[in-house]
Amino acid sequence: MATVPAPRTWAPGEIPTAAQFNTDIKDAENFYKTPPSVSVRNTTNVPDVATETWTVLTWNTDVVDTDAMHDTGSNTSRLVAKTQGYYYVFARIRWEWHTDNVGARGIWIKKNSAGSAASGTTVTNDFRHSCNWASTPANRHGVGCTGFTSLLAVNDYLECFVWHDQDNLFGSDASEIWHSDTTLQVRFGMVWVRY
Amino acid sequence: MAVPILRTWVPGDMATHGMLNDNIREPVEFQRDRPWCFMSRSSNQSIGNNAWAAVDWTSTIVDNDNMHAGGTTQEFTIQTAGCYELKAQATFAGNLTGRRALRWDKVTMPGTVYVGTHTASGTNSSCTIPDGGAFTGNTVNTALEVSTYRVFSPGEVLRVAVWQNSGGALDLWGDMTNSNIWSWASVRWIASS
Repeated sequence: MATVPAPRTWAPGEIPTAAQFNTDIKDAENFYKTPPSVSVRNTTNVPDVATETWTVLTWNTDVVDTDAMHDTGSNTSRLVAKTQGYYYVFARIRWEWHTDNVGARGIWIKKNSAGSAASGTTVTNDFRHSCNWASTPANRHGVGCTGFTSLLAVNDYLECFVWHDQDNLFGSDASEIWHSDTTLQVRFGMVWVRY
Repeated sequence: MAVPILRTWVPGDMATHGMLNDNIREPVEFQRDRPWCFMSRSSNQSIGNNAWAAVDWTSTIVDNDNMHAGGTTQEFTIQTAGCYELKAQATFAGNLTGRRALRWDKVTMPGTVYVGTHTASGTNSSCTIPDGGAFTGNTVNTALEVSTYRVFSPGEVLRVAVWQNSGGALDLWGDMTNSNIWSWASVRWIASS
């Protein structure tokens, strides 16, 4: 857990100590230089996202995690606030391409939802219809959203859900979330912005 | 809100408590709580067909610089000069027909809807495909998001406007009463200009 600086009010006649300078200058500047932040991705595709079903995504790789907000071993869908505050949050995914691009795509960030889209509260979302661009490789659908949380207490967490109603040509209604390597910006993250 | 102006220390300076407060405490306080107004809606707002409408923001999540305290519920009034990040999201009720749009306006005549305004950020659009046809059998919601950076002076007024042409009135979603943030707007100080 990071410590949000609570700046000292200096009193008349006070002679600053080294500890005060470290706490009130060094630690404070370090906090704002690197506020609590996390960004996660997947190294493999997320297969078989069923049609018309909000599905929570899990994440197996930390790109940035300055405050132990994501665990790659358990509850891997969750970004957990370890420092109280308001957070900027973002998610961006990329769906696989189909020759029959129909339907809509959705992304939904929820708070304390325990892996269920029916639970928790909405933070931000993006629902849009697919684009049937003709040329490859541009016709992989990107969906993304940003937003801000309301005040998160320590151990409040966010999860990212996705949805589609692709009726594809491959005999299956499942669609796939493209994996996120170092070039495809498929990410889920959040950054502390205010105490 | 006062933006800290930091002292240049010179040899022989004796740091008084006033100097320490002005040059250490106040900058840290400002960093911790920069001017920010983050608003949502507590209920749906009906948006008429084929006409831009200003959004009424009825739920305050953060407003530490009184940006939404004066004027109408539509308005954000800049109190502190600087470069701002403007972001907004509009979530419309599901409807298969037409398109949706969202924009920021800088209002040059506060209180006069769309007279003397200019668009501070571009129009975004969703719920559309190039051929304009129907896309799905599902009546899903449409969410739009727009963001930009602009420099503003104290007293300048901003609004968020939305548009849709579903053929009739369509709800812009709001639900802060259940802690859901469906449609929201954020005006956040980023840097001195």
